[in-house]
Amino acid sequence: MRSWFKNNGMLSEENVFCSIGAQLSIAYMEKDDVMDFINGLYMLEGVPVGALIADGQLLQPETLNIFYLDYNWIEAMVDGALSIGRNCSSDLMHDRAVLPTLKQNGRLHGANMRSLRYDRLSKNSDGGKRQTGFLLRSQLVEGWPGIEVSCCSGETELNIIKLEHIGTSVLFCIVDGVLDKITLTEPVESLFFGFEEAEEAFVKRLASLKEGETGRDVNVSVPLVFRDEEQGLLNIKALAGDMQQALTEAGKGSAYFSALEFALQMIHERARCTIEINRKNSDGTGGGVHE
Amino acid sequence: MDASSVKKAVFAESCTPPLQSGEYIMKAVSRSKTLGDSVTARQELWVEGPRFAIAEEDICCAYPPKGGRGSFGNSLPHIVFNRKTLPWERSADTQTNEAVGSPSFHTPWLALLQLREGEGGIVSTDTVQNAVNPNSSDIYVPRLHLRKGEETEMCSYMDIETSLFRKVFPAYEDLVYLCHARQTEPYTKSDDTGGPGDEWRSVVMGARMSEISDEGKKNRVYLISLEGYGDYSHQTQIDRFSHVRLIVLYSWTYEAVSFPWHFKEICSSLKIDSLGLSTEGQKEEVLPFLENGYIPMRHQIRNGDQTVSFYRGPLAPAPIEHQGIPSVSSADSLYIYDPDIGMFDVSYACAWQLGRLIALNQKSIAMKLLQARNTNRKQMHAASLQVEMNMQCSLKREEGQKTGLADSVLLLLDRHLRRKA
Repeated sequence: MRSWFKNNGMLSEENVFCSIGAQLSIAYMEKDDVMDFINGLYMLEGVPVGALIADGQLLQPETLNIFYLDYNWIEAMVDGALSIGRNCSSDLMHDRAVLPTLKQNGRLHGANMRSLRYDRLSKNSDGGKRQTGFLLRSQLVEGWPGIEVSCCSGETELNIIKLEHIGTSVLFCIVDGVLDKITLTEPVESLFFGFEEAEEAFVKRLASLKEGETGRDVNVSVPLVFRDEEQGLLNIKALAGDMQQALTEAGKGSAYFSALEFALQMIHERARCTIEINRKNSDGTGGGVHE
Repeated sequence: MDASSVKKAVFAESCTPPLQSGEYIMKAVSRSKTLGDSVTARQELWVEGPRFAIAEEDICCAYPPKGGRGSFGNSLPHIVFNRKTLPWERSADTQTNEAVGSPSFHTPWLALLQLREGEGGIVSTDTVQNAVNPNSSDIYVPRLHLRKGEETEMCSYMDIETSLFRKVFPAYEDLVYLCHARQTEPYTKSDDTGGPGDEWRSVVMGARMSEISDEGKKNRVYLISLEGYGDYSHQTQIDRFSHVRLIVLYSWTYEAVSFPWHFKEICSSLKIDSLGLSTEGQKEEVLPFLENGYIPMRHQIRNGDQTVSFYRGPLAPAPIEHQGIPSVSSADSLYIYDPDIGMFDVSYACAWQLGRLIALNQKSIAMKLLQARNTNRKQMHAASLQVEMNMQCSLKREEGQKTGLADSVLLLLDRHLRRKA
């Protein structure tokens, strides 16, 4: 076949393949679980940890490592995945014609998958942005598994593409964009119930229960009431009663005082830590990290 | 700052389940003025819920963190559950529950027992049957009605001295204040702690201060089931026994120190860096590779020789230009060779092979890809041949040549293709 056409200066097989292939790439779009699979690959789903982090030395304890996502690597992996059944040269030609559109769509949809699941797509990923992220290995991840993460680039909050635990002590996060600020917040459910120390004894600063300003600090403290001071066992009911009385006297109380109001009084403010990253400018100036 | 500083935290006094766990008998009664009431149907119901053990996935987290070391002297430990109704699924009350209308508020059945160093309390594991029937007559255990099949389940329990129990366990009237529910925001959390829809969590607090010291004191916390104990603070029958048996559902230990060491302090002590091996003490020639995130790895080539090649995963310390990888027929095409140092960069080749293995692992996807490609390819072949054939034919007609053999072959092909397409 080929010799006929080449001799006569006709269109070579490849060009025709390409033009027809572009129309036929629709055939792949119909298969939903295949599309999900490809989109997932763009988000490194199914990739073993050994391939992501080849050496344990890369992750030292109590470190936060920032990285850029290498699209060439992901494309090579996606091509490998789509190479099933690629036996002869016409298979290769077909793939070269049909797959580029598929890959581009995969990149776009993969970035939106997580945000769609949580109904939080603020801005569609344009698929062209660089994607960055961080790996956090620390006690923070073990002790506060619900640790909250938010990343910004300048003033805009970036969509989180992937946020997972690797084992119990490593947090893996990828965001859609170049991050320069990471905010780690103590999880809401781990707000601990604590007291302040004042002159050798523990006291509890109270928060207002009045409608509209609930939770705001009232400059009133109550001392802790113990059932058995030596053993440290608290008399919760009496403490709750004292709290209610003190708040009513200050005019910031409420009609009820149950477990709900007690919990509100007991919580400590959430700790939040912001890490700002200054990238080195192209001439080598700047650079550094501060919190 | 950012909008997240104005977020609300929503709390609830309790998340009571519509039905508490236990056995129920449902009766349907038909009422008639003339014939009176008669029971027309009767059904036994069993509402199941954790009783002697709690599944790992129901527990979200515990504070202070398991095995953690910090300044926990000014806080009360607590445990957070993924099940928002857990503390209210059973009750410590011993009144028989007649579920008439909506359940009235019951005392929760969970509490935290905190023990300091040297306060005894060994946890044993045994079947529920043996746990609920102690062999010594000096151990107090509440009478529990076991359902068929529950006797052989395993559970953990602890016997502690009654005097210690009175001194360190939260009072019965405090239990109500120690449990509540809280709403969280799952988008900003790791996908492993729950997905969309998992918003409410229930919390059980402890009531005892931790013991602290400069070197750190070990404190133990146990989640105890109080089903059947009733108002133990005012009951004197427990005092007749020397020991009290408590069912332990979960436990953890932590160390409390007297100097400050919290979330904030741990964050401040984090080392921030870009991903890559440290370049200290390395030779001049390898520095550019290490700085770019490459790792030297042992590489066994197909003919059995061993060499060292550079590998880098998809995570790189510096931005990498997107060159685009064309479709290749094997991983070998993606080897990158640096003749200056005589070493390979196998990153992309490994990625390609990995992708292939991942797809092979999913048989159904692999089959669909194969079928789609075959269908496409046949169509494309047919279409391209058709196009070129038409052009060939039209050219020949223009030139007014008759090629004899070539012409008849073309006609044959034409007919064959029309049949196929």
